[in-house]
Amino acid sequence: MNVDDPKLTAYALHELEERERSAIARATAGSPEAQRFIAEIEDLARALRSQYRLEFKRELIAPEKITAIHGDSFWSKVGPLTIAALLAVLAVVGAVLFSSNERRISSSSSLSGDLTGPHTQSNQFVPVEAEDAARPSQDEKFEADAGPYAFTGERPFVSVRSKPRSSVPLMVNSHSYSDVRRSIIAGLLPSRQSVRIEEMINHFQYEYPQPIANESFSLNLDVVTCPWQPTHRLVRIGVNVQQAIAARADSSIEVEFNPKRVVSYRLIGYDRQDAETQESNEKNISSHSMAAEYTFTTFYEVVPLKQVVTASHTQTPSVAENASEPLLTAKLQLKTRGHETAVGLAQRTVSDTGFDFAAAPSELKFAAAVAEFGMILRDSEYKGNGSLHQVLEWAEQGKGADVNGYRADFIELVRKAQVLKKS
Amino acid sequence: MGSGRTAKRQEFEEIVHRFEIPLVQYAQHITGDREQARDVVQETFVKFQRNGALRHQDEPATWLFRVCRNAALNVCRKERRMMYLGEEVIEVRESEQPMPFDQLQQKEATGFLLQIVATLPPRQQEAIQLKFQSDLSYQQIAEILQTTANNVGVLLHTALKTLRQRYAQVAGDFIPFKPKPNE
Repeated sequence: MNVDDPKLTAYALHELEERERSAIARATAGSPEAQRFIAEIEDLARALRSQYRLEFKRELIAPEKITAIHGDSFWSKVGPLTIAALLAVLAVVGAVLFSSNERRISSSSSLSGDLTGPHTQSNQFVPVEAEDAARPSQDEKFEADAGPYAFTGERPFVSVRSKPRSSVPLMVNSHSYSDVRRSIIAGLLPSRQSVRIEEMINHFQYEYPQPIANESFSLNLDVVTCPWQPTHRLVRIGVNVQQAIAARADSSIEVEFNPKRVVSYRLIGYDRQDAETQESNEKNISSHSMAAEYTFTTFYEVVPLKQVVTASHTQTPSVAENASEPLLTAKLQLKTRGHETAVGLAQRTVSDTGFDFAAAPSELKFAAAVAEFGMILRDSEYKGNGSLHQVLEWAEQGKGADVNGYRADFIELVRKAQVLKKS
Repeated sequence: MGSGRTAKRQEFEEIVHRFEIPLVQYAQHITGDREQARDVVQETFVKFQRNGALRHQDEPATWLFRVCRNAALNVCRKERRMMYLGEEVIEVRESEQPMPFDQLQQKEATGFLLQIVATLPPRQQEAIQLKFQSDLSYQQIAEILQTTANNVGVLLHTALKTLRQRYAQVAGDFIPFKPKPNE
């Protein structure tokens, strides 16, 4: 069948009458080439529609448009109602931008919806709110509560009003897990200093969706009930990077929390360490090059606004009313050697739809089990009401296929730790 | 009576919201100038309120785009830089020529496809925009471009075929975030 036929394009674009449509369907049934052509046209049509939609959103928020509305004689002709209505449209533009979940932006396009703007953090290895959070401010309860911070090196809850943005490095090494494992197998609970939760979490590979065609990473966000503190929400950020990329250590994920939904947040892990350890860790990371597939996982524990306002006694925060209002936006900035600016950029937004931990993906459950295990080993003040027993439960639920047996090994390790704790 | 007027006004506002930006983008394509495109769209809406609204309320797209297109072409004629005369290109300022394909510099994934669209002949660009930005049917596009639905089918087929080829060609040396060999 000749694929260079406008009829085939019309078929792919649903422009044919029923009779012609079924005729083409019959004619193409035996032609893989024609079917491929149709599929490609459909893909192209989808891509064009989505790019025009994106362009449309950009126009909606262009500053030029706002002035034009006020300055145009036309708008004085059609009257104040139109102006009011248009301003209302502009007012919800933020929401439009927030809710476009699958939007990718390129490094050169400057959307006004870009929440974080150009970022010139000199040392992005250290998560960005860390130093600021260490200085409690007068009026921020959560930051003032950071008392034990100096002692444990743990990250406190950070008020969204004072620090809506947080940055977390994309690259971590995973030495800590081996140290912890060695210690427990030798019959000793590991020292607090040796337990680095982000390294333990990222010792394991996680199944995240493969990047779509022509992209080399996927950025995935989930929100569920925080299993060790059910009045809080747990946000999991999961990244899958394909191909062997010489990614720089200052590649990062920038997170911006929505103050309408979130009171405060805490980045799990990345506890403070002495300068020497940090330096050696950084050195290790700088020499880290990505394998064919690299996955990265991090958690934020979030105190939702609703919870505080109603001082609720319920276990599950009610989120139905505000479900459309996004919780946060995460932006991945992938940097490679030889490039000062990010070469890859993706942005995702997530809303809290009230998912319970029980309904969480197994990958999330397993990673949460590792996180809580780390917090219990550190005797973290943020370990909540989780126990090693629950860690086992979550890890079992999240074990998945476990092809190489690493997760079974973890479960065994938790059992051993349970025995050591009792003794 | 009063509420009838309010309802009418609301309908009109909805139409403005829905079509203003696509129309401006479409007119800008023809005039090559943002401000002129705005003027053209204002003129179109004023005409619509006076004449078109009553008869074309159910399906205003075709009417709006056709009137907008004619007004944009008038602007070009007045300024003696006609891009179209029927199918013929008479005079095209250098800046208004389709972007030569090999000059495509920005190869990011986003907006990239639309940059390739900008390398197509003007009439194909129009058809693509009307089809995929405003979701118009072949028949509606035919009425706007004053041609036949068959011809629109040929325009879109040719345009999409070229887009596919060019995209594949560029995608060959455009794999995002792949390090250069010397790095």
